[in-house]
Amino acid sequence: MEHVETSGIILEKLGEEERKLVEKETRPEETILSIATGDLSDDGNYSKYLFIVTNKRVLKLDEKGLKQVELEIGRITQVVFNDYLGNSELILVVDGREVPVARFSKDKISEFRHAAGVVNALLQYKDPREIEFKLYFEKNGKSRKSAIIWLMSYLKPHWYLVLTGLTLSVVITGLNLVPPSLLRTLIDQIATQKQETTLLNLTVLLITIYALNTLLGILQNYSLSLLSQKLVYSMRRDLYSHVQELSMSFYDKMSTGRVISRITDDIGRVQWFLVWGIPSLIINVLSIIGIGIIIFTMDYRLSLFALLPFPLIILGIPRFRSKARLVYHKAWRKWADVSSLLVDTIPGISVVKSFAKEKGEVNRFIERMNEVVKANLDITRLHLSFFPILGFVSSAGAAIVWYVGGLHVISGDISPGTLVAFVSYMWMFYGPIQTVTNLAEPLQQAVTSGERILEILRIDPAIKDAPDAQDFEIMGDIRFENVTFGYEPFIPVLKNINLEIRRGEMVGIVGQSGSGKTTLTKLLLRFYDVNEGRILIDGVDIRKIRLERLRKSIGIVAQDPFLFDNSVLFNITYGLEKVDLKKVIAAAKAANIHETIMNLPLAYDSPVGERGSRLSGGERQRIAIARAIILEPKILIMDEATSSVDTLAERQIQQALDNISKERTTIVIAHRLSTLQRSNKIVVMDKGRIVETGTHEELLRLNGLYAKIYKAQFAEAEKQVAVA
Amino acid sequence: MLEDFLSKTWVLDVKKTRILKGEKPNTVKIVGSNGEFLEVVPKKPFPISNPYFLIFTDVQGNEVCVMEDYRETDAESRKNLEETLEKLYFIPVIRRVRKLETSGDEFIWHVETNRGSREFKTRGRRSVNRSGEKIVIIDTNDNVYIVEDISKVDEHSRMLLETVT
Repeated sequence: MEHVETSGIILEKLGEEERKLVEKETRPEETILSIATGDLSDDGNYSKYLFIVTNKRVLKLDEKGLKQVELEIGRITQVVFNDYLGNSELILVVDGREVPVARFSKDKISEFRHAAGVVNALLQYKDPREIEFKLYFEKNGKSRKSAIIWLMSYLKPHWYLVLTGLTLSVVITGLNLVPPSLLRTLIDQIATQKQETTLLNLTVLLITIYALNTLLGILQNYSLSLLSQKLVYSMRRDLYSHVQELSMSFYDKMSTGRVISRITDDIGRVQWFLVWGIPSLIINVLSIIGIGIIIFTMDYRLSLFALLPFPLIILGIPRFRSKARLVYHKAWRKWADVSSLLVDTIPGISVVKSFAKEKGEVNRFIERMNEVVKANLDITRLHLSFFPILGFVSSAGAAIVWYVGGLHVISGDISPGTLVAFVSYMWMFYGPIQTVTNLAEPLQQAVTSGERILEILRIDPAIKDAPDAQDFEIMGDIRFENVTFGYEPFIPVLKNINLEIRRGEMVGIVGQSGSGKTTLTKLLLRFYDVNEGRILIDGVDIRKIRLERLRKSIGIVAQDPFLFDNSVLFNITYGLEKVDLKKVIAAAKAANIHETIMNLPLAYDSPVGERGSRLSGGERQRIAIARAIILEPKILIMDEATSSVDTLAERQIQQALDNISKERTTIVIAHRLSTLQRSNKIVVMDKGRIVETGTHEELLRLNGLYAKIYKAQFAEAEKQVAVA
Repeated sequence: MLEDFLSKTWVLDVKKTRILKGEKPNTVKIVGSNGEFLEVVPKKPFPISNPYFLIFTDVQGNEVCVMEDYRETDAESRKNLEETLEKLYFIPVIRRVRKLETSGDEFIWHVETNRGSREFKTRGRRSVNRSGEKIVIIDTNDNVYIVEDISKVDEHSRMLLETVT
């Protein structure tokens, strides 16, 4: 049953004809697991085709429905994904031969990765149910509707505020409709009958209504603002705690900037929709209905004239908006051009001057400013081409109503008061209609934003505690068994890694950048799960160790340590729940940074600046070491800890490392081999594989890659000495 | 490993320690059950967050011992310490903010402190750091001021402080 549903969802993204084609070509007992739509033929011409993976076969259908490829899953042994410039291809290994099956542009990469992932899963698991499980993240097609339902779910806990706001809105709308009818009474009764008491009563009534309106307006505004703040608070809180939980793989796919924008901008738009958009819509629609009823009951013939500007409003405003978007965007772009020129030339002023290009730069600025002026005038012209006409048509409509209404008054059909009241209502009519027409687009945007937020909330953390996860005191024995891993499926970064590190040992990892050293440590921290093989700590698969315990037992000093914009004290005690000041000082001493900190103006209370910008690279590094030391981790990872600092700083850091690496398992990733002389074992990596293992001396004797790197660095060091 | 460094730290027993004025300026004399130190300099490693925690160094700057909370010493010792620390850590306490002007990205402060009235400038948001009820202000010339408890200053000052924190 679930199979059918999966197929249904996959089919939903296809067009009618494609769907028919797929249904014709697949057998009823087959489950469709993935469909990718390709766009390049084998000889490199743009042409559409469908690449279908079922639990039984791989199929490729061209536009006419001809089978270009048909392969039973059982014959496939491997999937290869090759990326080239401007296009990519999928190759299947069938009966030991590599068969290129699909070629496609970069647009289609994610679709084909999915398809390739499914084929690969079929090769591994054989059981389609497991694949179903893997596929469940597949988006279903109902997100628009569910986004609105989800948004509404936030309103529910604050129903009393919603109710208050709406009730007040309705009452205010009603009150707004009263004054014109008082005007009618004023003209018809006072002007003709000259009754002073009625005049007084009317005045008092009018003032009361305005007073009530002001008071209720304040209450309405406050309750809606309160609601708005509460909603945004809970949405941001939920979204933020969710993104904190999400795995590193999520952040690989989505840039941090985009995540931030969803927490700030998108939620802002949704807030607007919930709190101002909906009430505004309701109030204005109510006003339109209310006024409509009033004027039609007053005089339906006159009402028809009042409707004169309607077509212009309803047809014109959306047209105006779509044009306005373009011209506003243009003005914004032109302004951005000016800003970017400033950002370029003011900091680069010395270059400008040394090339004597001041005049040229001024001309460039003038050119761009001219563009800004033009773009802004475009905006003015657009406004002038629409609103004055709208104003004229409305006024002309009113004038006609005056004339026709005047005739009715003369003939005695209606009273003068009715005519005046009618005209007042008529003017009140246009405002809400314009507002409602204007609301359509922001509403649309809010729903889109809601979808974008929901998209993130629906992602499950890829890495979480297993139900039977263990919590135990970690001692620090590490073993990698046949570990293979890639950030993208089919592009392994680590291949068949076997490595044993015993507790208390210090192991150095050496290799060129991109050889997989850092990835190794990320796997140990379980930022990602291995694709094949397993990693054991104290004989337990790390996927069965409680995440919190695992990560708290591993200290890490990264290549460029990230410090938070806060005090030194805050940064050193970041991982701690309880702070012992003596320990803070002891850790800083062990990290060889205490003296430096004491010389800062506010010592440990000194702010480090954004990302630690007020400190030097070596100081940041040693603070990061102190942060790791204070946790007393059983396993310590140090990534290129001395790569970005000068020799003095290196010596200080080296000393800190010697302090910290006692009595714990230490993994040091190093470019400078001098760091590694003390290690029990050195592992040399190349292109994702371990190529050599041994002590410093053993590796030198081996005369392999390590010896080569060592000699190169040695020569470099000698050169430096010679220069000095 | 951390233990090694911890065990090397000598923590003074405040109850058994007396502090006298030192002979050289900015120094104090520690008289403890374990003997006498001459000429030690008190230093605050956490002048804002934990201002009562002290490290004592000899005149060469080598750490001698630490004291976790000097408020627990006897009245005379505390007085001696505070008189010495006053110069080493001059942080006037802002009692009232009279006026706060803005010009560009600068704030010009007119304040009353426990050391008299003062005008100073701050630049940028980072020069005013708030943690809880405490506000630390560092001016453009690196002078430091503190508002110990924002809830205890007068209404007007609080309003001005709230606008910048």
